[in-house]
Amino acid sequence: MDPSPYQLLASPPSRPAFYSAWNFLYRNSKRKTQRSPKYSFMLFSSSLASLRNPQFSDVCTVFEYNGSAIVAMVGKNCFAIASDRRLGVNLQTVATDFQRIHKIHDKLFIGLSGLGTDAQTLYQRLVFRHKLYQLQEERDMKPDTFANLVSAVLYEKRFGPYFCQPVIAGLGDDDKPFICTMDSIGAQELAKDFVVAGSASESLYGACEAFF
Amino acid sequence: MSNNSCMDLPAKGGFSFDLCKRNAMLSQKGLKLPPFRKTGTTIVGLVFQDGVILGADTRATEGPIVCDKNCEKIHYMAPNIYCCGAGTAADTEAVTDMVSSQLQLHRYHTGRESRVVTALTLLKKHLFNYQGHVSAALVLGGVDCTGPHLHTIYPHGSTDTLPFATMGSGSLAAMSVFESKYKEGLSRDEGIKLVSEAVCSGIFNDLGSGSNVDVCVITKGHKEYLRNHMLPNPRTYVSERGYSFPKKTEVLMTKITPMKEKVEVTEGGDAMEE
Repeated sequence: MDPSPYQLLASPPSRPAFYSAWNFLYRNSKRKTQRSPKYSFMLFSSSLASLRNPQFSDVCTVFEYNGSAIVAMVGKNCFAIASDRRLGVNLQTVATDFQRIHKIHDKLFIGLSGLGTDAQTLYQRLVFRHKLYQLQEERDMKPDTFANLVSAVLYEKRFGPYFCQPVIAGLGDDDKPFICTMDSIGAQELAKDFVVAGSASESLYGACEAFF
Repeated sequence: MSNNSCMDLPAKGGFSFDLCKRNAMLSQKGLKLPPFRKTGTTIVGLVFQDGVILGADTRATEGPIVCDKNCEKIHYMAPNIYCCGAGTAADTEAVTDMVSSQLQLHRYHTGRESRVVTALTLLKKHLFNYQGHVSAALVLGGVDCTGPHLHTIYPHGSTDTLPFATMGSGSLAAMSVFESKYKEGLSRDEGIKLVSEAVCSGIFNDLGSGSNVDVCVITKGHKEYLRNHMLPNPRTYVSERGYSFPKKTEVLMTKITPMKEKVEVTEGGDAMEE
């Protein structure tokens, strides 16, 4: 049977010993300017082991498991939304064409950062709800209405959340730009300038605060 | 159809615990669950000679990061009742929205102004039901036919009725101002000044609170929401020349998608041919 992603998460019981072995190797390799082939082989095998039992798993939050960076900004009568396309398992890159930004309709986009599986599930549910709205109301949803919908969908799972931080960007009435982000249980943050989300949000905050 | 809840029609209300088991498994496997957006907050309220004044700071935090520098923490409950919220941002927002809609329906039903105790009971009932898991700490204030009222509500559902109240992480800083300067029968201007001072002491002495001061003054038949009443922390430096980067971002692909034409519905158009 294929190893499931959850099995990849399991941390080894003897991690402290493992750690010290790594440190030992590292220190030794520093002391000697030339690394012997024997050492490099050991390093290689230890890195293989760490791949199967990632020692990072206990410092990572669920958001950092797949990794993501999403940013949306407002300009004059316009908005922009951008994301990375990496899907990783901790430090290992699995795919470089992962879709995090989705189109809801011509003037409304949603970026879903966080755990990949939840981002996709949530996207499907939101599309479903938006299609119901379109059938019922015979029009597209306004961005602020959609933000309230996302918020409600997320808050419903208050005690067992989707590990997803959405970024919503769209044009409202008279093509007025609207951007907004939420935490994983639907606390909205409406911003006038820019919003960021994902495991790289701190770097994005820095760049945006400095250059906007 | 009702069994398949994930693709079912929207639920009528209440929480869904579908993902709890999976999330517990994830955290057991060693993944940390992420922090929620909190309003590490200073919220205050006091009773003055002809009403109630509420005050709040405007910082929202997510762990050590300030994620919103100018959020709104004074929530609308009814035309004559407002409520300050501290704790998990989503909870304070959801709980106040829910109760304000219940109050609106109650007003439609009875045709009378909402009372503060009604809001208080609805809030504490909900919070007590969830045994503190819905972590909202509230300061509820309003003026109704029985006069001005100020209450604090704790996340577990207990309540206080006080002439002056503070909540949130900056509550101690704010309370020290109230304890030393509050007196009965304050005028409107004195009240606003004291509330601003209390919130400011939270802003400057508590790391969970910051940015601006929001104030809401409620008197008999009148209310005034002073959004950003004080701005003690303006942005100090913005580059005049803007920024330029030596290497421009390379354009790899340009694609222009035309938007779908909207159908205009004209009333009383041509009748269909026979």
